[in-house]
Parts: sequence; structure tokens; C-alpha cells
Amino acid sequence: MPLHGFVSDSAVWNTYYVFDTGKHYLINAASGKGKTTLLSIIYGFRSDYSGSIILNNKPNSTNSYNDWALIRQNKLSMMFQDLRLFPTLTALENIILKNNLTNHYSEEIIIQMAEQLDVVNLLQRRCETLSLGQQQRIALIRCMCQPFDWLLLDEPFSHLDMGNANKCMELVTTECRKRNAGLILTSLGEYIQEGFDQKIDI
Amino acid sequence: MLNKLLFLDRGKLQLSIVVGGTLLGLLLLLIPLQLFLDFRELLTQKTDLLNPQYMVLNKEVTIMGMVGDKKQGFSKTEIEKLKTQQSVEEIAPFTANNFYSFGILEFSKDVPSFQTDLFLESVPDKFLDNLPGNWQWQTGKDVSIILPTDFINLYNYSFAATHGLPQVSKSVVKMAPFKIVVDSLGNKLEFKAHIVGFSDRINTIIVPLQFLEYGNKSFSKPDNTETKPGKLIVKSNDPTNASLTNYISHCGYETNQELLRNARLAGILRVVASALSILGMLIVILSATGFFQFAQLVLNRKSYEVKTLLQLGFYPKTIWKYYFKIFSIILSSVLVLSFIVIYIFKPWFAEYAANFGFELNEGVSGVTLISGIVVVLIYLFATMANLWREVLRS
Repeated sequence: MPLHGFVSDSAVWNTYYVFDTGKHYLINAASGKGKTTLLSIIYGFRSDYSGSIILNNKPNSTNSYNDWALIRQNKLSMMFQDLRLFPTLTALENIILKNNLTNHYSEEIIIQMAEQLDVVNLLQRRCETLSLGQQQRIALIRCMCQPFDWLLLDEPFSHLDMGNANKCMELVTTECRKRNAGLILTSLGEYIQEGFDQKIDI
Repeated sequence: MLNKLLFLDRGKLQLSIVVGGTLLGLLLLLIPLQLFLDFRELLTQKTDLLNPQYMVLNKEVTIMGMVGDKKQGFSKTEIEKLKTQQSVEEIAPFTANNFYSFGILEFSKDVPSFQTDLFLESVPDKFLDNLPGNWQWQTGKDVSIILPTDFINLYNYSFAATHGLPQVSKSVVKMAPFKIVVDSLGNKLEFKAHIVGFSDRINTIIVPLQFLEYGNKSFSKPDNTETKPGKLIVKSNDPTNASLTNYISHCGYETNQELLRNARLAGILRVVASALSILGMLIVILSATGFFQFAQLVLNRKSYEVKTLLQLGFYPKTIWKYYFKIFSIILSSVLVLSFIVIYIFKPWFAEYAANFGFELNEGVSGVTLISGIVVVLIYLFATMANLWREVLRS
């Protein structure tokens, strides 16, 4: 299902742009170009724009609160730049809270993903005690705990070294393939540049 | 997990303060309401045998009366004139005993028995309310008697207290065997009797009219000529009617003052109660504002959590329901606490009021309980309506 967007300046903004179902997009841009804004608009928590975002042939602006809840449970999964973890909950509780909405994965699979990203020993720690890099990996695992058609990742590896970033990218690719889902990943132009169908500069 | 996220992890003090404040507000509304209901019941007492719309009229005592002039009393024309006054519905004379009688009251060995000359009076039954079923008298039956409450008060608070005798309650007096002895030309005839009730409004001993008519016919002192009634009972749809009270004082009649005092007291009570209820309302609004602000504070403090949960795909309804549960629990606890306080307070207050001679019911009335529930429901409704808006705004 294509994601259409009328947005300003450059390749995406102020033009008609279609994100094709199942394809992986990399958005490269310097700070302040509107990467986060674009993802926020697609994810429906900003409405201060003109134009329209059409998901599944339905303009985003027509969605009710309940529609948005359903979309965020089943269609779109987003990793926020500021991660939006709950600092007083443990890492595992943060993940389970999201997973409980759809019961998408069992706890074993969650632990497997944590092992894959080297954070399994952090699961019982409160998020406020984790470093940013550790928190990024926990937030990434949380993103996977639901069905989705599109995975939106906003600078997901900004605090990770090359090795960890590669492990994360591997998980992202596998999880998207499983669902035949599309990916939009924003980056400041760092190391992860491979494995995308299309690169967009805005 | 929502519990950990959405409710106060700190701020237990704030929760206690808000519970205390809401409880106080609720109590300040409910306690005056309960007391108002109690005192109103006391003033419009259904337990009294004489309905407040009846009043008793007699002529002022004059020197002529003191020397035994039998012409004292109401003449037929005077009664007819009274009947034409505003708000007067019915008039009947008091019938008094024309024979010599005395009464004997025996409690038990510990309390001395009383023996006293009796004056007995009667009015037609329709002027008496709340009569017991066996009021009517016929030969061979016990004579029912209504005593003025003052009699028992005199005994309890003056006589018994100063003579070191036990006090007696109304119910004990009702159980005590009582005898009326009639002395007819030297022959003493005994009638069994019992006290069936008390009245604050009639200052005389009332017996069934049938008994007095029988007695007057059978045992009248031979020298007795017909006398004019000294007392009248008047049924009025408004005993405080100005034109009627003016006429009464103009003619030099006296009325039972208890009634007018009660009417005045009822008026004062109404004014005080409406002032209190306005005050109570203000306090309730104040405490509602406090609660409202508390709910708002909880949500503001948790705005990151609420917003994030919505962004993760939680339904606004889920979050709202969670808060609904929390605030319902808090408010019902406050409600239960306030009921407990009132149930403890009420018997204590009744006991305190008894020292002043007010016999208050010890229970808590349904009106009070329902008012408490209604007020709490309004709190909850206002708070939750606001929270719904706030959740959606997140």
C-alpha cells in the first residue's frame, strides 16, 4: 500500500511523492531539514501542515482518535528520535507494554531480539539508568513488537557504534521482510547507507 | 503497569490532603443537612398527638375567675364569632370532668407511687392525631390517657433529681399501671387506665370523650349547673395568620404558646437552614474545585506518559477508563469515610442534644446518604468530563 505525500521543497516537500509498499527508503539530510517533521506528519502527531498524507487511500486528516490508535497498533510502527521510553519502567516492561497491545510476540522472541542486540542483560534495569545507545536498542526492539506495513525509524543509530548499528540494521531488515513491510529511515548521512531501495535527499 | 505509569509515584501527601479536603467539604454539607432534617422532624413532630394546626384557646385568668365566678368561659356567641374568623376551620369546646376523681400511678417498689387529684378533659377524637387504635372507651375497658410531656419532665428533671429517685422514660410510664378512682357520693369506683401518649401542645390530661360523658352523666356533683367551656380547641389552616392572632389578643384570649413558639422556631430554622445550605453549597463547590485541580495535576504530571501511550497506539478510552477507576476508588473511599464519620457523630450528637432536652433520632436519614452519593457523582462526572478533554488534547 503506497504512502502518498504532498510536502515542501526538495524531493519530498512541496511535491507529490509516493512511498511504495515494501520498499526501503533512506532519507539523508542535515539537521533542520524536516526529517522528523515528515515522519511525525506520517505518524499523525503533527497536523500543522498543508497538503495531505494518504495512507491506504485514506487521508490522514480524516482519522479519528480510535483510527489512529488502530493504525499505530497494526499499520505503522515508529521509533522516535527522543525514543519515548518510560524512565521508571524496566527495559522489559517498556517492551512488554507495547507488545501487550497486540500480543504480537512471545517473551522468548523478545529475549532473542535482545540477545541479538546485546542488551539481554539490561532487560531488568530501569530505562533511566541506561545509556542512550542502550536505550536506542531497547526502543528498536519495542518497535518490532507489533504488526506493521511501515516501519518509521528516526535517526535510530545516532548513538551506536558501527558494529551495533549493523546488528540493528540486520534486525530491521529481517523484521521488515517477515511482514513484507516498507521502511523509512532517516539519517544524518552516517555509516549505514547500504541495503535500501531508494535514497532521498531532502 | 499502567498503575506504575499513570498514577502518582510520589505525592502521597497530596493525595492525603485532597482526600481530607474532599471529606471535609462533604461533611460540612452532610452534617448540617442531617441536623436540619432532625430538628425539622422535632418541630413538626408527627409523634405529637396534636397536629400543629390545632390551637388551644382559653380566657386570661382574671380576679373574677380567682373568686370562682362560673360565668368565666366562652359563651355561645363568642364561639360563633370565632368561627367566622379568617383561617378558622373548626372549633370544639374542651369537656371537663364534673365529678371528683383522683389517680394512682404505681411504678415499682423503688419508685414511690403517685396519688393525685385529677382534672380530666376531652376533645372530640377528630381533633387528635396519631391516636392509638384502642383509644375509644367503653364500659369495662381500660381508660386511655394522654399526658402533657411537661409532667414527665417535671418529675425527671426536678422531682426525681432532687429526691434521689430514678428517672423514668416515656416508655416506662406507658407500661406503668394507672388507676382512676371516682368518688361518687362516698362510693369509690376504680377504673383501670394506662397512659398511651404524650403531648407537648395540650397542657391537660386528655381522656376519651366517651369516658367523660359517661362519668359526667353518672357521677356529677348534684349542685353542678352547666358551665361554659373554659377552653376551646381551634383547627386553623394557618395558626400564625395575623388577622386571627390580632382577633385573639383583642378579645383577651390566650393561646397555647408552645404552638406559636414552634411556629417561630420553625421560621428561624428555615432561615438558618437556608443560610447553612448556601454555605454548604459554597464549601462543596470549593472542595469540588480542589478535587478537580488535583485530578488535573495528576494528569499534567503524567502528560508525558499519557502522550507517549497514545503515540504507542493506546486508545484514549483505555487511559480515561484507568483514571475513571482511580478517581472512582478515591471518591468512593471519601464517601464511605464520610458515612462512617456521620454514623459515629450522630449518636454522639443525639446524646449531647438530649442534655438540652431534644430527643433526636440516632439514625442517619436516607436523604443525607443520597445527597452524599449525588454530590460525589457530580464530582466524578465533572472531573472525568474534564479529563476526557485533557486526554484527547494530549
